[in-house]
Amino acid sequence: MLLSLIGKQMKMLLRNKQPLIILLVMPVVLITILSTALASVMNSEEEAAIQAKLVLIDESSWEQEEASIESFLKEGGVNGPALEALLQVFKSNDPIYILEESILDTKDISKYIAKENRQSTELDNLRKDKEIAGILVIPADFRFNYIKSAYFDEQETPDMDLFLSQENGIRASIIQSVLEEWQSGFTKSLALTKAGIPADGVMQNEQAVERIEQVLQGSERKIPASIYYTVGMLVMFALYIPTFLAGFALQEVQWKVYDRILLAGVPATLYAFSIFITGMIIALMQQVIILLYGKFVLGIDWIGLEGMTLIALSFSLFIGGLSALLTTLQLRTKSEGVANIFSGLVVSIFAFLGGSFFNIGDVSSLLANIGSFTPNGATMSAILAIQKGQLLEVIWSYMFTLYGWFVICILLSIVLFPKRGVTS
Amino acid sequence: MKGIWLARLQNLKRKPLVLISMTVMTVIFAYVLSGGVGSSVTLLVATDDTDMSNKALERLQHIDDYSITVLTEAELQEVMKEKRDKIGLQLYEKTYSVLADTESDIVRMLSLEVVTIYNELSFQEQIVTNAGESKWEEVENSMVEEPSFLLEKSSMDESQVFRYDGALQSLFGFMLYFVFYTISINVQFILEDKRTGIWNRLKLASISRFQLYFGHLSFSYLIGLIQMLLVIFLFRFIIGTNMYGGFWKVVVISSVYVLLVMAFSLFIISLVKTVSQSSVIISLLAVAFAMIGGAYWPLEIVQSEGLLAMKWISPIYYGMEALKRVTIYGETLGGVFSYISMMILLAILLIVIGITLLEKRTERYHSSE
Repeated sequence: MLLSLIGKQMKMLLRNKQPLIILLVMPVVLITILSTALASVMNSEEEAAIQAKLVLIDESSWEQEEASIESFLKEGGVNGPALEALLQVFKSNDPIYILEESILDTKDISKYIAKENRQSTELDNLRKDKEIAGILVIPADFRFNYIKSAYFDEQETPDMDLFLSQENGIRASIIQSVLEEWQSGFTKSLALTKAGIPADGVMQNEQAVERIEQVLQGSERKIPASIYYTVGMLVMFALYIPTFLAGFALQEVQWKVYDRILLAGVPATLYAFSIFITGMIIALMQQVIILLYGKFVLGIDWIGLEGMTLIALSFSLFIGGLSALLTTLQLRTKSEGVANIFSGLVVSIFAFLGGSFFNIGDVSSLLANIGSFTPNGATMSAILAIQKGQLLEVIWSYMFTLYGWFVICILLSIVLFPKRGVTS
Repeated sequence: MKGIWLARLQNLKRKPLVLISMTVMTVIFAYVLSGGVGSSVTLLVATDDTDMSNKALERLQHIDDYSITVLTEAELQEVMKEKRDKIGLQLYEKTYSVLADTESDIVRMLSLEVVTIYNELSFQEQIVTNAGESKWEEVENSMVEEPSFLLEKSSMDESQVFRYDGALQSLFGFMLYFVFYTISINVQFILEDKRTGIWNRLKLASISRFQLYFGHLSFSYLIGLIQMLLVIFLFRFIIGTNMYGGFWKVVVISSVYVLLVMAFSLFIISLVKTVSQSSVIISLLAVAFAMIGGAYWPLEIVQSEGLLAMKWISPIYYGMEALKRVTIYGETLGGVFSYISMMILLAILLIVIGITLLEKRTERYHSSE
């Protein structure tokens, strides 16, 4: 009897196209979109994660300004070899020279910023270019003015224009912070000179701090976007299964199919139990299909088979329990209201809190903590822990949450299920 | 028409629960999110107890953006194993390491901040050892007063101001995403009325089609608008979000957005048969629209051209872009005119298509009866 009830449920699901589309096609489409769209953001091993395009417009050059600097020095009474030496020092300390040769050219920075030199006549067009994140315009007599102001205190502080693109806000702020660091380096050495401290000694001994990449132990690995979103969508879309099963049950009540089943001598509890089992089987099938899609289409290497099996089975149990509970509530209230609120709002909020759309901890620690108590959030954390290559023991706390929900669902279904039949 | 309003009001009075719970939910969510958006990120920090790393930690503790928990190295390793949503930071004498699953914006900002702190500390230390405390003060003053040269920053687009405000971006994003649900629920009454036959009875009465639709839709619009304004006012006046003087512009754009969402829900309802179908489809579409419209993350980080091209079909994109432009970018309403008119155009188009489809469907119902 149980088997034929389960068979009936499965057939109802298969004959309706809408549930199949939502349970299988939607997650697969979303996984593909998300993992390709955000791959560059989440996969830190990819070199040019976010590369900003900086255009440098230099309205003159050292060669062009050298003559005026030289005559300025001669006026000040510097001549012969001293003049040559001084010019050499100025040239090697030229801010623009330093920027181009020893800042933007280094490996660390060129990973984030791509530099391009253009002519000042193009400025108006460049400002409209959506690809460019920032434009630095160095005025024609900048070097000369800089030398006058920095070394001889004769000129007002020279300035240059930096245009930043609002549409590329993140990239532009990278450029901004690099250029500010460059500017503050020169300000520092100027301040040292004015205080009479030899700048070379301080600046060279200054230690640059180095970032060490996170050390991964033995079998550990990082989670790329493809795994993250496959898991995120997997736990989210399983939550739609109970809505459909509960919807069918209500339909059966409205069409008097339910009454006929009861008349045929099937106990009401067996009917509820069949929904529980069906929910479980469908959840398991859905998870297997999505995981296989990840493996064969996205090329994900799933590790920790026994952990994954354990989590998938537990999560399916929970989905079964939730199906039973939603059905019970639908039969009790005799309206679609409960399943509506569940599928419309609860699923989205749970998915949101559980981190299916993005890592919620980046936005708010409080929400992330709430999210880890949702069944889908706990399951997601458990799967990600296993996929990171951690031991089975890490997932017990998550499993505890999941089984807590399971027990609540089952208990409520048992208590609330209408045993005397339902009239529509 | 007055009658329709009264009927809807009565209905609301008898079953206020769904509306109230939806509104409360949106407000709570908005509040919690804004707390998360505006305030601090929890950082777990471990140091190797050298002078340098302790000083760096002290400086980090002064930055309001982070709330810091200090752990030992072993504890940190242990916690990071279990939690996937925390950010860990290890500070050593000459190096540091950020422990996070993903290289997010926050991680990048944090790295920059740590590097700056270390650089400043080491610079200060060098001067103090070379020349003594008093010189350091002199240097510090002259660094503030006499910069070597100035970087004059401005926006590439002359009509904008350059500002980077990730917090406001996510706040608008989540707001638009959540009100998508709450507003669309107000439109589902049509399906309900059709099922119970009230719709046909109203049509038989001496009410013109225009009055019927206009009465219902205007009421739904008003309810949606009140919900949306509630959220905006909460942000502006209770939480005190800085909208860069664009508050009234935000209200204007939001009222157009409510219209667009309502039109969109009407369109969906004209395609489906039951309330449960419409709520599943709307919830899925809201997620998809939020993703491609840039509500969850700024669109500039999306690299796939195909996905970027899809932003034009997302109602959330228009709302998002217009809201960002009038606040963060400092543009005028005239500057976002194209977005607003696009929203109104789409709304009218969807309402017309939706009503036409609904009418056709009704005719078919009649002929089959």
